[in-house]
Amino acid sequence: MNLRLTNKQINIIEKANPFLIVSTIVAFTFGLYFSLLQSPPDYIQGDSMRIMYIHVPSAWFALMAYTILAGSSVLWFITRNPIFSIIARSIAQIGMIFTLISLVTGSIWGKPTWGVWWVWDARLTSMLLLFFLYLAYIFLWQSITNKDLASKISAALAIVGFVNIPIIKFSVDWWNTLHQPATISKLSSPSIDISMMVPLFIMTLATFLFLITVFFIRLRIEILDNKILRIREVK
Amino acid sequence: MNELISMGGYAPFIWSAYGFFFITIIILFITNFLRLKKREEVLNKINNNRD
Amino acid sequence: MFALLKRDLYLALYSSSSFFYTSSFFILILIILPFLFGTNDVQLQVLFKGIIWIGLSLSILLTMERIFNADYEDGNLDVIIQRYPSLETIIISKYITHWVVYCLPLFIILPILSFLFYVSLDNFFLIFLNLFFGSLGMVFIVTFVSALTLGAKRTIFLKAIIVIPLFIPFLIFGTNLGSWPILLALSMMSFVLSMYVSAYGLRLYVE
Repeated sequence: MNLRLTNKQINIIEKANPFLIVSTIVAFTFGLYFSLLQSPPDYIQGDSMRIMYIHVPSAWFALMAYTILAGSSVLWFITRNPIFSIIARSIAQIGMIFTLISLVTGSIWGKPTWGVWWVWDARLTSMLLLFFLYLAYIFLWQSITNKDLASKISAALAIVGFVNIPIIKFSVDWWNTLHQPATISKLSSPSIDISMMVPLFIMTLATFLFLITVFFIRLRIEILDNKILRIREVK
Repeated sequence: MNELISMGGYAPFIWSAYGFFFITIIILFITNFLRLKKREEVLNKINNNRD
Repeated sequence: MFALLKRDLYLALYSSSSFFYTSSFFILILIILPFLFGTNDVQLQVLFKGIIWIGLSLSILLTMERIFNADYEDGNLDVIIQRYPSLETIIISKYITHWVVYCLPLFIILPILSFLFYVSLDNFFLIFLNLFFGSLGMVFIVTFVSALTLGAKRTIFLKAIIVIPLFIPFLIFGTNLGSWPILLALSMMSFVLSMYVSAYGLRLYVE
């Protein structure tokens, strides 16, 4: 398996690591300062809406990660360049963790807002199913011992899952309007005040930097694995 | 300072949500970092044996 | 084509000792209901619509390893693929076999079951249509998942984790009477998807 990465690119990935770690920490420090101290409490939900500053970025990146997962699987089918298989695999774990975070923080946010920990709301249910799509992808990858085969199979599963997301979304929405009176849909708050935009933006940036940091570490793991494998083959 | 800790009465929710977020991402970072270090060790060992 | 179908059907019916096992399974899954929830007939009617889908999902899901795994492990799959060069023939034969062995018994005993659970005649036809079109799509889904997971370690739970999120749309529309056109559409979509993905999976493993 040839990674088709030049030495220069590998160098950039290695050199970027300390810079990324420092900037992630700085961004989170600013983000926490703005989201916990500097921003005013919401006039309906009070201080509990501060959970939004971690919940919303996690949910965004959970969805974005699946798009990248499916996109790089498609690119892998077209180009057969193993780098896309690695991108898909690395992003799957990160995406699953962020789906979990958005579910848990959403549930914690739900308790003071709705009075219960969980509501069978269309959005929450879709997120729960997304979590299981990630889980299926990761488990399938782990259960096939021939890794060359595993990358082919799990790429197909990622694309099938991506095709299914709109179908699942549509049917869950339809199911929700059938079974739920529309009183609980407080989650959708379209107008966000400018004072909330600043912390949300900084926290999103910080989460993004964190994602890139972990992603680069995953890439380096794969590069080293590849090197170790090749040395053993030569022996 | 007290105001920060009490969070307008929502302290348990806010602190547990933020705590969960940061603990999870730190675990994600550390596990991957340790895996990277392990790979580097293996590679060093192989290189030393060859010399 | 027909020789292959005959062989598949013969093997499936022979190995699982036929119809009576599958239909007893469906009857027993539903007989649990009054013991769990009491004999209130209105409540039973409501629960019947849901539990019958759990029975159908389980019967399709738990037996999915029989679609390709047996032939793959004893090497027959290579022989079949050499003799029938179009993979589509093989896949369609597997669809028909799996549906006949693990879904058809449900439709035969459905009149008796709906009699037991006080289902009216109009509702019976709607439930029948929903189950019919839904079961087709669910068979297409398990077929491609089992083609993809041929080389995975044999764990039915892994397959269940992959399959159940894909079943959810069928279950949502299946329990709503009268939405059989949507189920038909979903089944047709999964047919197209299943054809491509199963052929892709088989080609990978047999090479």
